[in-house]
Amino acid sequence: MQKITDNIFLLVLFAMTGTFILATSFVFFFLRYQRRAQQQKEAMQKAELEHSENLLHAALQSQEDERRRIGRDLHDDVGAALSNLRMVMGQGSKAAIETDMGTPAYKPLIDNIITTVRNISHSLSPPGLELFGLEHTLHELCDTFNTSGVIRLSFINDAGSRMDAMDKNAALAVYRVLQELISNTIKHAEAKKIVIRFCIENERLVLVYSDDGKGFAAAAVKKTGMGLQNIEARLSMVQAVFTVNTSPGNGIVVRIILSK
Amino acid sequence: MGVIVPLSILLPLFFGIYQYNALTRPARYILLYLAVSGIINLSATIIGKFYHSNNLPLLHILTVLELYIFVLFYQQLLFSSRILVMFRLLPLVFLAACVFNAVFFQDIYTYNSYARSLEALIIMLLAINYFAKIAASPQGSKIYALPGFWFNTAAFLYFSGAFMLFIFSNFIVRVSRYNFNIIWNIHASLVLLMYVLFTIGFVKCKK
Repeated sequence: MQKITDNIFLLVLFAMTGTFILATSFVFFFLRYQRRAQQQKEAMQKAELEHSENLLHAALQSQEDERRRIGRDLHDDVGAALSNLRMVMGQGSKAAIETDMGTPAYKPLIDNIITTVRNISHSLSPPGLELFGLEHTLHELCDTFNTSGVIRLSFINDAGSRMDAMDKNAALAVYRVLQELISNTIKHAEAKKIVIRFCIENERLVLVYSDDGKGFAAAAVKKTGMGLQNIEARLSMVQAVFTVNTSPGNGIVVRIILSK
Repeated sequence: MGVIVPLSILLPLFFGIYQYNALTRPARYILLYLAVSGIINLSATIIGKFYHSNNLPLLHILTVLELYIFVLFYQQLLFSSRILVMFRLLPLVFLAACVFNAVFFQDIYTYNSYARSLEALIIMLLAINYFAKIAASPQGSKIYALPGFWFNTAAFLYFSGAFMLFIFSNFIVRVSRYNFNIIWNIHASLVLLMYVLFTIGFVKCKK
């Protein structure tokens, strides 16, 4: 009888200790899980914060670049043309003012200034965008590049009227993003052809931009710096998202999902 | 142990009363539990020591009240309309089970091991539910600032540790009075741990 008593006592003791250890371990692992989850959450928040700081930086940098470019255009083109005009007008004599053909010498100078100012103002705010919509403006953009002979640009609209029904801000963002992409292609890709295509996928307006340039390693996508961050900053303002598919020698395909 | 543990209830009681205005509603239920438990334990001691009578009927009452107060406590912590019915029904079902147990199995002068075990099981499940609830929204180091976390941990550790004792209590008392006392001293340590954790919970209640 004594033996049985001892055994029962030990069994109960073990059972009590066991359940207590189980419960304590449960609390311990729970706390450890909580700490890990919190650390992960903090790391994610930090990464998000860094990313939005980068986007802000990219947006500010792009603004600065834009200002610098306008300043340079005004100084080099308009400023130089105005100095030239001043010189011509300053000479005062009829011979200086008139060319050999008898037409006033200042006239082509003024025309040149008007063209330059128009080009600068168009690059600041494409006038056709508000008046004729994105489709028309993109046709114009393509014509400009195609006539310059730098690159061959094709524009296909499979989205019909959805394109021009786009919000004004979204249209401007798309236009700027396309400018950025085209500029990148011309600068870095050594491409001969660019295709811009709008289509509808799952009720969403999608823009697919592709070139036949040299592409780059997918791992380098995040390191390509300001260009893509600029694009992301602009697109995030109109709740659009984009993906980049590229590999060395295979050009680039950028898919931009614009709206629901 | 026989004196320290019953007196140790004064520690959480003191902090609970001292912090009363800052106490959250669940914390007030814990304070109520301590008060009820303290009064019943004191009465049981008086009845046992001075009148040499069986004080186990008080344990039957404490079991029902204890579960009822813990259900109110967890109702506050786990509140959601989906389980509201369960919270309303649980004390009633448990009361019915206790009465049934007292009438047919373990009368009021016997240790109510079935009811105590069932009570421990219910509270352990409620405690795990609370852990699951806070696991869904990671709090990190902020978790230590939650009074509910300390109260819940206290209840969870105590009832988990004492669960087996509740189950086998009647059996052990029949085979060895000496071992029974040793095990009840271990139980007293669990109670002490629970009171310390309750005290931390009250301290964590801030206005």
